[in-house]
Amino acid sequence: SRELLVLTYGALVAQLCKDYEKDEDVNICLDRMGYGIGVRLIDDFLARSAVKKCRSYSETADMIAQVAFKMYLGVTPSVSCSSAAGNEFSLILDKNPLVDFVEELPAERASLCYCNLLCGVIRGALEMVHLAAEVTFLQDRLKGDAVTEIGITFLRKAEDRKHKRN
Amino acid sequence: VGHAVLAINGAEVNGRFTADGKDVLEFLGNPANYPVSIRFGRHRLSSNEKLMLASMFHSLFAIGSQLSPEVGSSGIEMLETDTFKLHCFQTLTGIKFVVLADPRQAGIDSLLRKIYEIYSDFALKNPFYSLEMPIRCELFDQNLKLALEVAEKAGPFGPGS
Repeated sequence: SRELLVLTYGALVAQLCKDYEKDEDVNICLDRMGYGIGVRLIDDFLARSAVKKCRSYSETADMIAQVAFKMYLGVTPSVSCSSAAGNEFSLILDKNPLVDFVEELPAERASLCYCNLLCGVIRGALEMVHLAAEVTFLQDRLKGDAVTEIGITFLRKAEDRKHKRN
Repeated sequence: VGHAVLAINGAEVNGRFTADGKDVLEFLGNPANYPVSIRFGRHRLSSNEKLMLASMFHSLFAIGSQLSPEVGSSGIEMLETDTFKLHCFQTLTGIKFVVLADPRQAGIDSLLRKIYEIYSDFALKNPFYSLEMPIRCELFDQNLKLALEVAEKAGPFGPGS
């Protein structure tokens, strides 16, 4: 049944490429769609996994990689912290089911972030638990890099959350 | 006593009349209609009352978690009175699920978690439901009703949290 998801995603991206000329527009669209999914998916994730609140960005990044990715895509990216401040993390995917049937990007679509939807999902989900973050693709196998790497940068300090609580 | 007639022979009752316009007292006064099964219960809150309750509780909840002597309090989980118990479950996304139940009713914690699942399935996954709006999803109502029935049947001796 994962095939249908992968094929549907492919069709979605293909259609967006027909609708928009510029790669950047397609990327933005994918990110926006992903955001809409993320703000809803987070509650499904929390309801089903019954995880406790994460106490640090590091725990949050681990949670995304080990529990959420596993639950929804069946893969477990590895996590590494890429800043001394402790608010930048990388998720390295060596297997990405969404690109199972994609060899490489066509020449005219060289700056397309094929899986940008995922970035939007992560960003939307984090926002709903009051964590502002920037999520982008740092490396992409489809573009010839060795691995696929998603970078998450948490924007606000965790302590600020206390004042934002409802 | 504060209880009202909620249903007769399975048909819902609204005030003095049933859903198909029959007068309840008339119906009950006619021996030809016996035997009859009547469901009593607390009066259902009107939408307005629900909104008032929710907004008052929301503020109380916020004040409660600030005032708490325990550091890092997660807010009001239960409010107990003589006639009812109010249970509240706040998700990590800030959504509060509030259940008003009989003080002796058990298994409310698992009910709250079940309601969270039902919400995330039938409300959130419905593409036509907008966040923060009243939930008018048929499937959500149906599944919620089922979950409530299960919890009610469990009664005072139901499974614990």
